[in-house]
Amino acid sequence: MPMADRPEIVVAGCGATAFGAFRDGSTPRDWVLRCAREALDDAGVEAADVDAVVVGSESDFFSLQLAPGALLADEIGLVPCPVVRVEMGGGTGGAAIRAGFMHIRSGLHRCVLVIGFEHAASHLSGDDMRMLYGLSFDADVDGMAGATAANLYALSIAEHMRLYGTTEAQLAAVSVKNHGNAQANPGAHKPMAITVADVLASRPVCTPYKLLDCSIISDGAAAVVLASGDTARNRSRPRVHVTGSGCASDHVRLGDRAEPHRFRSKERSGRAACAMAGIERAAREIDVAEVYDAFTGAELQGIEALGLANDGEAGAAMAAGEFARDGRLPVNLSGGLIGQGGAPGATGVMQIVTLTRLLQGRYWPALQPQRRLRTALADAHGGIATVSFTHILEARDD
Amino acid sequence: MTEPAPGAAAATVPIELRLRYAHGLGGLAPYFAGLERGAAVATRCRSCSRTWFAPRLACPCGGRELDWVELTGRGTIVTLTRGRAVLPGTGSAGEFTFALIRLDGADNRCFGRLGGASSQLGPGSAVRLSRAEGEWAHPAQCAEYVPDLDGAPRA
Repeated sequence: MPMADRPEIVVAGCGATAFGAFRDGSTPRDWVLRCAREALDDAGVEAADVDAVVVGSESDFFSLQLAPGALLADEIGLVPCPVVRVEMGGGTGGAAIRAGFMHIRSGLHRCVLVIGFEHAASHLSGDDMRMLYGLSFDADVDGMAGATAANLYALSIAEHMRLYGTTEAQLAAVSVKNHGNAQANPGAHKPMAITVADVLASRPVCTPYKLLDCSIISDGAAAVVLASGDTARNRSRPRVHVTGSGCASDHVRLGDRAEPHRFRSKERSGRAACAMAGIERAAREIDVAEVYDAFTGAELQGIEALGLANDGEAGAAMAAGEFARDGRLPVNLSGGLIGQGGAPGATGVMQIVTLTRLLQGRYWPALQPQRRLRTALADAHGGIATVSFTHILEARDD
Repeated sequence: MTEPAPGAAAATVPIELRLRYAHGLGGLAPYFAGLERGAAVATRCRSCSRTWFAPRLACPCGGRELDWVELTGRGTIVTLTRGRAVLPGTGSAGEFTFALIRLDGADNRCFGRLGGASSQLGPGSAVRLSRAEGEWAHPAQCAEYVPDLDGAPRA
C-alpha cells in the first residue's frame, strides 16, 4: 500500500482506572471491563464496531491468568473479534499501542480496542516481585545471579554520573517533580510534596538510588480506541492523531552494550517515530511528553535519548525546571511511574490516555497547561531500555 | 476516570504455588560448568575474533561459529552498586554488591556479585572470579568476584 493511501489513525476514545494498590478484592477483570466501557463510550462506538482487540499485560505470574486476552475480550462482549495479547516487559503498553497502530495502518482493521493492565501491587510480596522482575532480563545469566531492575538501572546511571557528572541532587529533582505532579492527579498512586533533601535522605535501595528515586509498582488498567480517520465518530474535540510509531531494541545484558549508560534503543525508536511524524527537532517541536521513569535517572537518560536534551545535560536542565509543569517542555505531568505509579501492561496505554486528554485540553485542571498543546511524545520501554516504544500524537482541528 | 470496585468487600483468598522446574542450561552449559569450578569460560567468534564473557552463542557481527575459550578470570570493576536482592531459589534475600566487570581478554562486561572485602572495591579495582562457598540453586550463583590482591592497579 503506498504511504499516501495508508489510513490515518485517531485516538477516538480513552478510559482508565486509577493506579494504586487495590486491596478491595477487585481484579483485572473488573478494572478492564470498566475502562474498556469508558473508552468505547468516550469514542461513541459500540462493542460491535470494534473489529480487533489488543491486550497488553506483562506477566501471568502476577495475574495468575494465562491467555488473558481471550478472557477479557469475552468479558467485554467482543466475541468473535480477533484478539492478540502482547508483552514487552515494562514497555508492554507501548507495544500494545504499536500493535493497534499496525492493525489499522496495515489496512486490516478499522477500529481497535487497545487494553493494558497489570495486577502488580497487591497480589504478591515485594521480594517475590523483585525476584520475578529479575527474570525479565537474561534470566539464566544475570537474573539467577541476583540481577534486579534496581541494581541494573543503578549500574547504568552510575556510569552516566561518572561520565557526565550527573549528581544525586539532579536525580532527586526528577522525584520532586513527579511526586509533585501526582498531587494534582486524583488517579495517582503516590502523590507527595517532597524536597530534594527528602529524596537524598531516603533509605538507600541500590546505590546511588534511594527509595524516593524509585517508581512504584501499581495495579491498574487503561484502554484506548484507535480508529482509522474515516471511522472515528467523535468529532467534538480536537482530534488526536497518532502520527508516528517507533520501536527498537538493544542488547539485553547491560554488559554487552558498549555504552551501558546510553539508552540506544530509545534513541533509535525516538528517531523512527519522529521521522514518521515529520518531526526534525524533537526538543523544539514536542510540546509535552510522558517519559518512562522507572527510576529518576532513567527519566534523564530517556530525555537525552529522545533528543529532548543534549547528552549529559538533562540533569542540569531538570534541576533548572525545564521539564516542570510550567517549564519549556513538561515531562510526566501525570506524575509518571514515580508519582502516578507503574502498572507495566497499562503504563504505555495510560500515557496515550494522558497525552490525548492534554492535547484536547481536558486533563486534570491543575496539570493542564494554559498554552495550546499540539504535539506530544509517549515513551515506554521494557528491560533497561532494552526494547523501546515511541509514539507521537498530534492535535488537529480536522 | 473510573475507580476500583466502590465499596466492595475485600474478597481475597490466599494462594501459595510451589513450582518445580527441570531447568535446562542449554548451549550455555559449558559456561555454567566453568562457574561451578570457579573458571571463566567464554566464547570467541571465528569471524571477528571478539571474545564474550558472559558468553554469547551467536556473535553480533553475524558470526555463527564460536569457540569455547577459558580466560584467566582476572578483571576490572567498571561500575558497582550496593543494595538488596534475592538470589532466586535460595530462599534468601539480603544486601549484596553487584558490578559490571570486564574480564581480561573479554570484549564485553559481565554482571557479577562481589565477595570478600567488597566495601573496599570501586571502579578500577582488580578482581578475580572465585567459586563462592555454599549450596546454590543455580550455577550462576556460584560466581563471586573477590579482590585480586596480586592484580596490578588498573585505570
